[in-house]
Order: sequence, then structure tokens, then C-alpha cells
Amino acid sequence: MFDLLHKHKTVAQVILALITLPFAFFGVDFYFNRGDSAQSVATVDGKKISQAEFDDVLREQQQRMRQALGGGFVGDRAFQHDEFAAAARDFSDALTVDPTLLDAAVHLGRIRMLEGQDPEARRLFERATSAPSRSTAYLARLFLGALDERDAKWDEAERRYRDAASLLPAGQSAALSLAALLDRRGLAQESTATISDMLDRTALRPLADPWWGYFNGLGRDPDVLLRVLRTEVSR
Amino acid sequence: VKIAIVSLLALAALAPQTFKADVDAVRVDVLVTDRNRPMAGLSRDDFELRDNGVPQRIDSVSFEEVPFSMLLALDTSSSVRGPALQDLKQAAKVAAAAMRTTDRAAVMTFSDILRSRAAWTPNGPSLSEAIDAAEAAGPTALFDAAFAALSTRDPQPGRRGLILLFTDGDDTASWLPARTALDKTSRTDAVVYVVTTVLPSTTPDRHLYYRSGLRLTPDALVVDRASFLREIAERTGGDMLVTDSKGLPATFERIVGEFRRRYLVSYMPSGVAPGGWHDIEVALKKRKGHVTARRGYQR
Repeated sequence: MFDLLHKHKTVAQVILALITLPFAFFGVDFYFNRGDSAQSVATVDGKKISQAEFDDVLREQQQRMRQALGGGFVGDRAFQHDEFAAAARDFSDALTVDPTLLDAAVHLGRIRMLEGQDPEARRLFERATSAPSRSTAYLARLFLGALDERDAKWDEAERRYRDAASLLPAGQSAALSLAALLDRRGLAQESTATISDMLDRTALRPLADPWWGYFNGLGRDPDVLLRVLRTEVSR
Repeated sequence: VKIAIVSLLALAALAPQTFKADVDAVRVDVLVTDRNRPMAGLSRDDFELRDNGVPQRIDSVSFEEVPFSMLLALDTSSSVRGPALQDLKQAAKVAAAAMRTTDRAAVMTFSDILRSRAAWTPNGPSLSEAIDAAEAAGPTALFDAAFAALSTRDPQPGRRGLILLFTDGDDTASWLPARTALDKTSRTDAVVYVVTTVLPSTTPDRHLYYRSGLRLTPDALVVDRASFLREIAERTGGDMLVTDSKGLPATFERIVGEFRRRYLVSYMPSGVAPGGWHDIEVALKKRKGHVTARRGYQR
């Protein structure tokens, strides 16, 4: 096993980094089974912990980490050019090792978008729209819509946002994007109705939105990554 | 029930005619102060108003007559947990108590989740209960919340709009860029008063980690370094107030009192192009006083 790891040192390092960094900063995937907030996810000292309670604690923990680490946080470093390029390489490597890791395609697409490489960003986002994970497909649609909106292709952007909303009707980011676009288009009443509808729904039950867990990145499915690692080192 | 629904739909269908007249007129909430105290007793003849530099005929000026609707948009991210949350709840109740019986309020809280806590209602037990139900957890989607707040209006027509936006920090979770909320200020006549317990940094710490990286136009900055809170207040003719959490109740009460003592100036724009951006300048004729009003509007 160790010999195999040694032989495939670079690939193993990349994959291990992708697995451990998100864990180091975020713990387990806080979107996993997020759908039912009333369902218990664990029992501590005989007390059942609900999904909602778990999410709250985890978000708080993330916030503390961000504040404590400040500029040293991995996401911040990624903003600097070198680290940005390194992050892009990691995501690209991950996709090479396993093309089905479409979560990585969304992350890489965002980096390409920020670098101004729109055709590449669009290609990656389009690829991710077919992801089996609704969260990944949702974010891919939203990023595509944002690119369309930025380029004043408002009909296309609206279609993308509505597609995202139909994929995850409880998604807050899709509602916000759609409302903002409608407002820009002079459709103030429709925009207000979209926000009102979103807020009415959250009054009853908190919405889940994949954007809130975006920076969990590949860590949100560690089993897949461990499987990839095992496959890779056993070659 | 069906008849009632059909009747309501029929009434709703008639509404746009009334609304159109309201849209054509421009209403500007104006605060006039003398030595930091609101100045009362002014009439239409005391004001002069320019729309894109063109003097306008003011149709009406009202003072303390038009009821208002106040949206309490409260940051309940994890950093507000503990005594600060209790101070915030107390402040929200004080603000509600300072309303008159004709005024109404709604409550929205935000962390990464934007949540409606109370729909538009006069002050009463339901409002207090909604405020009490707020809990603090999660990061801060300030830009998302500001956009949602600016998009939220009391459906009862004719009311003045006040948004009391409280936050204790910078944005750490929004999907929308700051520019979305800032642009929205040009398409609302609501006035935003920002209350914060943290002094805005002169060197903003705006990491991309906290941003989606979306841009509204190809030439827009990914990380906007403008002071978001001050900007959103000034664009709408409001104010930004900094206090500690113990000072929140008094600050909220002061805002409601000050907002009531603003003048509502209405005019029908003439001599200017109907569309696009309109600069608004409001001044006093032959009187001394400091005038605060929104910078303009977009049509």
C-alpha cells in the first residue's frame, strides 16, 4: 500500500489534499441529507440532534474558522494568482482522475470565469448541468445564468435561473438571481413577488441552498474520493 | 370561498390603474435638520427641487401625516449570539413600540438564510413574538439581505417605506454581488437607516472567499471596495449609525422618531426625459438647514 502511494505520490497528494482540506476546515458534509431538518442525524448523551441543529452548529464552526484564519484561509489564498492557478490545477487533476467529479467542474468553471476565460468556464458549467447531484447541476445553471446576465443575454439568463429554481424549488440563490434580473429588466412587481414568495416559504421552513456549502467542494463526498484514491494507488 | 377569491382577483385586476398614477409621481422623503435636530413647520414654499437640474413644481409636502411601513432587517448571524441578540430584540421591540397605530412593521432576519419572521402588521403581540423567535446562527449574507429588504414593500399603497437594517459585520455568504443591492436603491423610494456595531474598515477586508464572484457587467469589479453600508444609506437618503449593542434600543427609537419627522415631497417630473437616471436635488429657499434626500431614481 505504502509502495503504491510512493509510486503515485503526486496524484495521491492531490487527492489527499482535496479530501483533507475541506475536512480540516468544514468537518463532514453539511449538505448530506440536509433535506429534512427535523430528522435526527446523531445522538449525543442520549439527546437526539436534529439536522437543523447540526447545520447551525456547523455553520457557526465554519464562521469561526474563517474569522480566526483570515487571510490564511485556503479560499483567500486562492484569490492570489499563484494559489488560484494551483487550485485550478487541483480541480483539473481531479477531473482527469475521475471525469464524473462534476463538482470539481463547477469549481474549476468558477475559477475560469474569474480569470475571464469564459468559453472554458461555460464548457465546464455546461458539463456540470448534467450532474446526478442536483446541487451541482443547480450551481452550474446559476453560474451559467450569471455569465449570460453579465453579457446582457437576459432571456438566456432568466431561463437558466428558472431552470435552477425548478431543479431545487427551495433554493434561495435561484430566487435571488431571478428577482434581481427581473428588477433590472424593469419588472419590479414580478421581482417583488419572487422575493415575497421566497420569504414566505422561509417563514414556514428554512430553505436549503447548495451555495451555502459551495466551499465544502469535493469534501462533500469523501467516499467517492477515497474510492478514487484506492483505484489510483492500486493501478 | 370561491366567490371571495374571484372578487379579490377582480379587485386586484383593477389595481394597476391606481398604481400607475403612483408610479408617475415621484415621492422624495426629505429630512431637514438644524443643529442635528429635525426641523418642523416647513411648507411647500420652503422647498426647491430639481430633477436632472430642471426646477420642478412641488405638488405637495406632508409632515407626520402619511403612515409608514418599517421593515426590520436584522442580522442574526452567529456573531450576534448571546447578550447582543437580547439587546437587538429589545431594540426591535422599542422600534415597534415607537410606531403609531397606523404604522406597520415586518421583520426579516438574515444569516446565510433570509427568513421572514413577521408579515406587515401594526405593533402588537404577534410582532413581539416574531422578534422573540429569532435565533442567531450562521454567516452573514448582507448583500442578499439588503437586496431582499429593498425589494420588500408593504402592499398597502401610499405608505412611506423605512428599512431599518442592522448588521454587526461584513458580508460573508451572499450569492448576489453588492452592486445588485446598490442598484436596487435607485428603483425604490424606501429610506434605509443602517445600524451597525462595527465601525466600517478603511481598508475593507473583502476576500473572494466570501464572494460568488458574479459581476453584473463585464467591466464591473469582482470585489467592490466601496463602503457598502454607508453607500446604501446615503443613496436612499438615510443614515448610518454606529453604536454598541447596549445602545441599540435608543438608536432604533431615535431612527423611528427621526423618520416620522421627515417631509414627504411629491412632484410630477416635467421638462425631463422620462427614462434613465434622474438626479434629485432638494434645497431650502431662504432658510438655513441641512437637507438629506435620496440621490435620484431610475426609470
